[in-house]
Amino acid sequence: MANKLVIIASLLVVCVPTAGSASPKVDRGHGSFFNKRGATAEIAASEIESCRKLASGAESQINTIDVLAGGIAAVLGGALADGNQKRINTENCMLIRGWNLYAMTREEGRAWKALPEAERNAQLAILVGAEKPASGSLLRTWHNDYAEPALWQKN
Amino acid sequence: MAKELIALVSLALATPAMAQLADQVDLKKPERPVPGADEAMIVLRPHAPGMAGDNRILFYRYDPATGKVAVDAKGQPVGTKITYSYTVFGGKKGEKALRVAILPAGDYVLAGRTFNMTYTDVFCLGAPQFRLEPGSVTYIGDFEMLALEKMADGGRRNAMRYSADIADARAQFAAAYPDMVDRLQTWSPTNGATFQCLGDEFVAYAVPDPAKP
Repeated sequence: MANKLVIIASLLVVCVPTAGSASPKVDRGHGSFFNKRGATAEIAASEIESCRKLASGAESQINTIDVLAGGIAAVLGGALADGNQKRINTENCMLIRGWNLYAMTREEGRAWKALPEAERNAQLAILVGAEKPASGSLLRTWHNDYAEPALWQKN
Repeated sequence: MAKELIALVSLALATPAMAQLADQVDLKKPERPVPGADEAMIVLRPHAPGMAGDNRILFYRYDPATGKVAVDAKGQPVGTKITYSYTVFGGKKGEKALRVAILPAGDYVLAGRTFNMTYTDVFCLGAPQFRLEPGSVTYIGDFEMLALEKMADGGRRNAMRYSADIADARAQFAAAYPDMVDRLQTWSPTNGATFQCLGDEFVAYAVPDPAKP
């Protein structure tokens, strides 16, 4: 349990900034995590690892239908250190499996990184499964964007 | 993203990414091949509201029992690719371009899209699966090709907006295949087919429920 939290926490704080965010104040680079209501750290770690393998081509098949039907709940720590494309593919995989991606503001990210490790882990374990995470803002959720693109609209 | 942008300006240097896939029928030629006894025909209409680059819509042969795409001796997927280009070199804005391909009858997935021949979006996380019966002529739908569009979440991604208009498609198909237009039927895809992820970006593509507003 503790080891998995460390893994997730380390993922959360080494996020790579990328183009595109819901708000100028919220960015993956400040810190991000996956959330799913009721999820545990163990589920999150397992799902992240599965999606990372898939993103690297190591896992050849997944059963998306079962995953969606099962209503899996969990969380995942932000960006991966093994390339932007793999990060995107891992992110896509997690979203399709029902996770939501949250990102932090600069202030939230700084406050998060300033916490003692044990406290960070404890808070992350809560953020992963919270109905409404106390930190971060929703950045991405699954939408059938390729077939039904939700295009950005100018106000 | 940088790779996609590079691809956008590297058409002259591009090489076919899926050369093992059969090409569609060349409707510019007077010959009009028809499906053989064990073959089927698919009909679709890509279009674009603006510059969408050079695209290949990929259809792979699929085994629903194993959840795997069929591959040839070199391990490359078997199927067909449908070409559509709207670049500075050609293409008409907004025009729905009739595309036709003849395939062996069997099970297929709408597998993905090659963008500017160097970048492939693969629908391996969830794809429409469908069956082509021998001798069938199947209208797949219309695909609005969008390239690096800014999405609601702020990210820029490719898309193929799906729609279907069988009556309009039938009228267009009749001009190319007047003797076969009565055989044109709609497809019945099942979303959610997964298969091995090989490509650049791994995504899902779900054909919208026609009953949904």
